Amino acid sequence: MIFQDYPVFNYQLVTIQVNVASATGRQYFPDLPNLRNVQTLGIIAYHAGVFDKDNNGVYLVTTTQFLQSYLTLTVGNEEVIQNMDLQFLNPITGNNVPYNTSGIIPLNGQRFDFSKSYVTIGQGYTGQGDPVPYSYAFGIYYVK
Amino acid sequence: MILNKLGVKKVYTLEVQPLNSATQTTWQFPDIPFLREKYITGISLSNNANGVTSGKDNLGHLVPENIIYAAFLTLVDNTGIQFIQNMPLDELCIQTTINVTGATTTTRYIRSSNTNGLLIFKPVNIVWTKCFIYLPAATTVANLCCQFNVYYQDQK
Repeated sequence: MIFQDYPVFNYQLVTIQVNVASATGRQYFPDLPNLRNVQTLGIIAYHAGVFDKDNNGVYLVTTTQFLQSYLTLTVGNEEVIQNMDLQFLNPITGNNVPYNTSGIIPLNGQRFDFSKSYVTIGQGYTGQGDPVPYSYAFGIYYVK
Repeated sequence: MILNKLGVKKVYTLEVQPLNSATQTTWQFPDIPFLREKYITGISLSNNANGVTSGKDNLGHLVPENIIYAAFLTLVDNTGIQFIQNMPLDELCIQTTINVTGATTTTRYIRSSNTNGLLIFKPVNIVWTKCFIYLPAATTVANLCCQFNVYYQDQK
């Protein structure tokens, strides 16, 4: 549990907005100037069972699609976190979505390059009934 | 739970009251002279489904869940840095299940004591007048207040 060892230094909500219905494949993070070269302590992944819309007023990813999505994080040119199920990054209970009972996974202060990091949507997902656009929202805990 | 480890030393309750029939998408914090020189170590938000149901200064009902799920908190330190940017208010609630009553009633869940519980900050001096709650879509409110419990210490 990260907060037993680290307090919160900085937090930023970031989103990946998906504008296409039934999208599959990779959805990259936008450029995040504020998070360049910072040390990431932990990441929370949010879904529609946690809150409805992100700070841009865009609907969050449905819980169904959340469970078919994977996160890849890059340091330099190396994908150090490869296709981690988003459910492992979710410490909040709700809507029958599995959650990580141990809280937020400590990420050891790694300096992720978010411009090379992405969410992969499972190829088998059809996306029926999802609102468009929708967004993947992440809470980034970091220290400069 | 870090609070069991560190202990709660000092707590101050502050309230943000938007104007009645507000159409703003930003609710600013008031000036809080008492906390100007304090170092904040944690913060939590009460809601009207769990705990107290009215503000301590009779400013109105505590923030309902449908706003908690649609609002974001930004906090600014004394160097002008937004060290907390758009944190969903869910993250500040430490109760477990709450219900959202609207056109349909849904049960939502928030950060609970069996995961991480209360968020703890590195001791930080906050400039409250620069802090705000942001709503992507303005919500009409009446007699409403957002009540925060602020944990602090006198020395860094």
